Amino acid sequence: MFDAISAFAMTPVWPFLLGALVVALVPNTLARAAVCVVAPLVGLWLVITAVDGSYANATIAQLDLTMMRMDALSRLFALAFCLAGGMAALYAWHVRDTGQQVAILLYSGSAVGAVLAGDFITLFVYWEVTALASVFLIWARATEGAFNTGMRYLGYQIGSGVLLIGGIALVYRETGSIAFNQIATGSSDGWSAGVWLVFVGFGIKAAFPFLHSWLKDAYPAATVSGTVVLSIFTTKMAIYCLARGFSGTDLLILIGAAMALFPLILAEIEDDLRRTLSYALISQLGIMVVGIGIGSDLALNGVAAHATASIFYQGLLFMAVGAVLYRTGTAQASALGGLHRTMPLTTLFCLVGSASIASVPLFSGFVSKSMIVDATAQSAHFWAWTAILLASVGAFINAAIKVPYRAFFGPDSGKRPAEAPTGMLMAMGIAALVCLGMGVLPGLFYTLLPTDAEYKAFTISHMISQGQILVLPLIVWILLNRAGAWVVTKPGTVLDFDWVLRSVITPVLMFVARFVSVCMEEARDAGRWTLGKVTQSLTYLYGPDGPAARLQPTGSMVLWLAIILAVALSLSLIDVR
Amino acid sequence: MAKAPKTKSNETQSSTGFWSFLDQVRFQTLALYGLAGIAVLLLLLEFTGLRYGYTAADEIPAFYILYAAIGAGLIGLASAALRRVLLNSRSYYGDRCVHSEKHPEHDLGVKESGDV
Repeated sequence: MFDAISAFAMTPVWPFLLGALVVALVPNTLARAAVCVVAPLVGLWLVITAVDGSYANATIAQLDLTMMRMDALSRLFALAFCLAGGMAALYAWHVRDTGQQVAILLYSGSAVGAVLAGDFITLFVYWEVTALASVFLIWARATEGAFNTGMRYLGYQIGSGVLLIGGIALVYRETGSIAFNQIATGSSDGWSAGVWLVFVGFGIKAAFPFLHSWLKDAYPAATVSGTVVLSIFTTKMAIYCLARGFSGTDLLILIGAAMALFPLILAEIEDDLRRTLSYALISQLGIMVVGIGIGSDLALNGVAAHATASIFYQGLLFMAVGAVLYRTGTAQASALGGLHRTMPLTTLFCLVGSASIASVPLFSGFVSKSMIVDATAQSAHFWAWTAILLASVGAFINAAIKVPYRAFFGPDSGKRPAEAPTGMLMAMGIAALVCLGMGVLPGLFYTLLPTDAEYKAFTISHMISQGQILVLPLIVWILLNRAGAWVVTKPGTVLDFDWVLRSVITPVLMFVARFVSVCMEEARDAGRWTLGKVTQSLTYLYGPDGPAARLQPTGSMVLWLAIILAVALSLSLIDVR
Repeated sequence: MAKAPKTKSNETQSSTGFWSFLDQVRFQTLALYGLAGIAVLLLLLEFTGLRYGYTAADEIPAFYILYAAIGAGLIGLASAALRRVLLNSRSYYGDRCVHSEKHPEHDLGVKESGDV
């Protein structure tokens, strides 16, 4: 145990854990908020100064754990998580809820620990802590709806953990190793049950199609700050795990293409801007999953770069919409509009996030997503390339046009909210600077990427094609809007796959549960009846008045003994051969 | 708490601030022509040989422009059509669901621009 503690102390996770402990004990609100910001920055410094290699080893229950595996891939994710953790804590500076603050630190720290884990057991522990800590960001909303959403979210997250540990056990039985390295590549034919379980376990947190509804259900149900924090860690942690364990897996190209496309229409119909961004997030994750499936050096660089960029631009968009919700009390597109008048800085930051997700040149998405697009084009998967292009168009429409237009421009709602609080503005400013920094200085950003694949984002032909992808949707959007043919969002519930879960699968499960309950009741009654009859018979036979209790004459007993001996003698004479 | 008067359209709003030009219909029309001009310019540049890409589709003239326009149109029209099927009332999943709840006040800092 001492080994494990000293190994843990070598990881950049301890500042988060210590910070959470301090926050839980310190009553001063300002000190608590400061600790929440400082702890991730200490973690960031530890990641920057950590040397490459696998260390912080410990042996528990004859299993060799490696709590620290530092290479280019894990370093990039850990850097992004620490910086984003600090940014999110700054955004939540106004929060006075100790529970939320502790949850933010535990959640971000365990996500950092997960991407540094060199073995499956360490990964599993952090995997579960992220699930348990993050649900408190939903429950902190403190409404009945949020409690129910949190329970559903927890079901998915714990389910993912159960599949993961089941898969780990089976893989360990097959290979005798718990090291977390490449698990599978190429075709999925012939995968063992253990590999499938790990794959689906990762897939739940990565929001694979049909396993995604937790994301669009939970993220808009969290607190203002909680949604920002949730958008950063869980899904990117899953992307890291897929990149580490399943790069080059063909099946991921199909899954990723489906993920990239199916949310586009749902995002457009949705009235809640936080839910719209949740769908946009799933689409962006789909692009990353395609890149993991392609698996070339350029594709993996693209995945790492796009995941990192996405942490900041998606976080920035969630922060901007969160600031609107914080000041106006609503994130419904139909109730907003014209907020740029009194929230100019939030508007500006939102536009930076929009430009980044739309891959406008000089913004982060342009230098990151294009690597995946080009790697897919260079592979033999033409259809996947067209899917990613369409997803890029959709991201532009959903996140880059709809969100800023409906919240900050568009028809005036008459609302005149105050500008976001200073902490929120500072956090959005940092995220905007990172988005711009990545886009303006891609060479510096590319030095952090995991492979040696070279890539030039700023070529004239690339900017021309990207310009065409950006300008035409804007023209189409303006024309269709003027013609009144573009979808107008209205408050309501947009049905997704969760309709199947809530309206079909849940009633079926309830019916089965009721049927089993009735069967068990009947079985219990039948058992009780049988037991009564047996007791009655035994009482009749052996009770005070039963035949067994009666006095028998000695002669009768001798006669029975003689009969038994005769039978035994006869049997012994039978030749069993 | 002084609330600004509610206006019904962009044109009647007395706009202030840096972004106010965006509210004017004249600017929007101008922007449309400007965007169309940029699109034509980008198309012309493509025909000068500055063609990007690695697939056979890149050889198709104006591929990106056509693909983006058709894609955007499809997403917009399909969304409008599917909204009838997919959009339901707020209380579709019952009253104990976040869809039918207001965001709780303890998590908000609602404040108007004139408030101190």
